[in-house]
Amino acid sequence: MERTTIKPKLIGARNLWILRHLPPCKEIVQIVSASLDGRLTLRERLIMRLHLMACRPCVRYMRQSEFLSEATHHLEDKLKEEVFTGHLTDESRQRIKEVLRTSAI
Amino acid sequence: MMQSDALPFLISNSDMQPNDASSEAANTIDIDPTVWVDDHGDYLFRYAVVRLRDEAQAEDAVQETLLAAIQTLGSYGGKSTERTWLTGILKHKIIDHYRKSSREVPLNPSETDLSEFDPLFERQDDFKDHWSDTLSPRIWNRPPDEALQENEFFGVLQSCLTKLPERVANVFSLREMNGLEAGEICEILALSANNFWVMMHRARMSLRRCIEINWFMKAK
Repeated sequence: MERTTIKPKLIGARNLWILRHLPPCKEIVQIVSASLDGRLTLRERLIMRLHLMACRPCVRYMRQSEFLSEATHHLEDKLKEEVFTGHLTDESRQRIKEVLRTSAI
Repeated sequence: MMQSDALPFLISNSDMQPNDASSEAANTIDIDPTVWVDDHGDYLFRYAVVRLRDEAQAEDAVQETLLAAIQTLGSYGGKSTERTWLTGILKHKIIDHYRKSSREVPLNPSETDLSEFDPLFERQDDFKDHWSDTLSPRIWNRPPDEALQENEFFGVLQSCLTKLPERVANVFSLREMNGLEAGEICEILALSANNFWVMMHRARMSLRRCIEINWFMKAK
């Protein structure tokens, strides 16, 4: 498995500067989330861009969060498929029919 | 087989108020609402259960929806399919449910607390508040595109949603399933903009990690 350890010698001076002097991952992930809901200030957008150039785990966090949104949209299509998330029990089916009959008469 | 359930009651124009403008649909409406249960019951139930995360509540929502549908049958002009029409009613029922429950249960400070994620950003070195080496997002073992083809994956996603605090899950559902904007969601759930933003972040942090652990890092 890939290590994510920050090795100052390997990541270069520019990236090191970004990681040391701009907001840390903990704040960036909040900005990433806000970006998915479409509300970033210019400053936030800039900070996020710079950080993502220097930090692979945060890039991964962003891609995987985007995937999460996509998957949640797909949940809707999956509702048509019987195998997924179950169905009304026979009892509740009968109960609902009974209620509908009494109300319609 | 279905015949035994189907009592012969018909709703026709003659059953409605003669002066009611909504009853002027040219054709006689000849519908047995109990058939909806067989035709759309399971679909509506699944629609409700992913949003309410509770089977009993989902059943109630389906029942309420079909009852409301009988009331509004006159204004359903067959413009959309029966299922689309019923789903529209259910969608509003669920939003009403969220609206009501968010006003009944006051916001607990723990719901907007992000400290549960602190351990993910603990490091031994001086890179304070950067990802921990062991708990940072992994490279996923299984391709995301494939997951979207697998029903089992959606079962995992659904059970991950169930683990969120109720209001956090409601915020996430309104945003990601219903596609509503922040402002509309804050109005429905009586939230401040800041609370909305924190709860969305909390939902994403938890869900991303939950699907990572329970699907993407698991061997097939």
